[in-house]
Amino acid sequence: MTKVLLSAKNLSHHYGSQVGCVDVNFDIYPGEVLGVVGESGSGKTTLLKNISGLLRPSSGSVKFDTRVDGLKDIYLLSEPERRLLMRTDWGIIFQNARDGLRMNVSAGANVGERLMAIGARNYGDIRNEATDWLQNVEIGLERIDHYPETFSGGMLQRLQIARNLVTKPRLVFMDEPTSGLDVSVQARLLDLIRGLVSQLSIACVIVSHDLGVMRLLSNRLIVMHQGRVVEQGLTDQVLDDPQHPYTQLLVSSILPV
Amino acid sequence: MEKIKDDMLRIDNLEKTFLLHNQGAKELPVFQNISFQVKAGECLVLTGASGTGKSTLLRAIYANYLVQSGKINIRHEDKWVDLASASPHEVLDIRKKTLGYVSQFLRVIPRISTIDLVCEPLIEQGKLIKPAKGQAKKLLNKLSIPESLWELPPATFSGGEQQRVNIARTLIQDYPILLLDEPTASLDENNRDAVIELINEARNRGTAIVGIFHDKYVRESVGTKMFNVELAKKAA
Repeated sequence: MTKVLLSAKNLSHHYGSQVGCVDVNFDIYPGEVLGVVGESGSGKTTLLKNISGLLRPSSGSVKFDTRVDGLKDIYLLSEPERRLLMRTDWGIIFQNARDGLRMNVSAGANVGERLMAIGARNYGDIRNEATDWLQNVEIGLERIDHYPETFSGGMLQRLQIARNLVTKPRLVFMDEPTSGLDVSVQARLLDLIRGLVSQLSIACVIVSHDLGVMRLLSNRLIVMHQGRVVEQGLTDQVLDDPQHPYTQLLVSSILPV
Repeated sequence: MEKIKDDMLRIDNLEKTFLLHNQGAKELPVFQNISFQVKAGECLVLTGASGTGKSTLLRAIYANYLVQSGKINIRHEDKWVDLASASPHEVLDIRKKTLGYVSQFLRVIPRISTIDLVCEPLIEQGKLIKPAKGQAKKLLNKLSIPESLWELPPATFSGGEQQRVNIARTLIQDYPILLLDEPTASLDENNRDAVIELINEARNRGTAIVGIFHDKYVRESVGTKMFNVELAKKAA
């Protein structure tokens, strides 16, 4: 088997006396999509922040397979090293696209900026790459110089994806990437994420409460309840033959269409 | 000829019980002590009345359902792997290369055209789009899916059409082991015969098959041996 890309060990996070997540363990391998499900307040987003360098966990470790030194604890890296990692090998897709975009620069610049952050300097090349990526995420080229402020919710989310994937990261974190979008836009976005992730063979951690999204996108699933991982396994196995009482409740609560 | 004699699948003392936590921890035993072997080029037909657990058994062999005990030994790239205790990554690898499964119903993916859906397993294997599409077209033709439908997502297709797309999606790849759950259930005679032909072609190539076929004609056309799940349960 290929080597681990990211490894979370005994991860816990507390907000004062409030529990974020407790004793979480998992590994992510290159090219696989890991889904994290659970109801609101179950600790999904806290976990995602912990493993993506946004929030230092109260205890436990998060190790990432860095290109130069192999597996290293991301919270033991220096701040510039961690920043570099986040700009190059990682992508973070926020639930609210405005958190992940710069709203006061054009769409093209939003995509180009990440390229410049990893050293691209030729304006023509950057512009071409940005153009390619806007096409990949189905944003019309006539919009390249427009501000994101003028975009719809679905377009903002697609722009955020282009901005993150342009540097060909090895690992992308997504927090509820499709919530708040209407279903037709959601289907388009899911199709896009699904295609890009498998073409570029990017590893992904996706947090969502939508089990349909999970079945479509993820290979493996982690089920969280009250901050703890109560079940994990192959996505279709967890959804079709859930073992834990909470997972059984979750799966049986889906409304059939 | 050596290939034909080899065991591909060895099921050993399989036991499955559902535990329904939200219905007062109700236990639902499905089967126990199920054992059989399937060799390359054989087609084992699972028999028994509706509700005896044939589909559950098939899903357990695909590792879609967890089993309480027993072994599901699969010959994967000339090594034996027990699916019941394999890691998720091993299971995914086995499903990608060795073990194919045709479910009773097609799982439609929004916005994905029929032809793309059918060639997806080949693309995932790293095959180029053009030859993969060529293969998909051949198969769709054989299963009488009209060319006018190929670019459409199959969500709006009839039950029989969806089932044929489902079959094409699995049979496009040369899996050494195939699990078939009622692949001919809602097909007319011509299409049924086309599917029988495809199954027999696979079997003649040395594929080991485990299937559920309610239609006696299909059973007799493709099956090489029977396994009665009901009797096996009683004997246990």
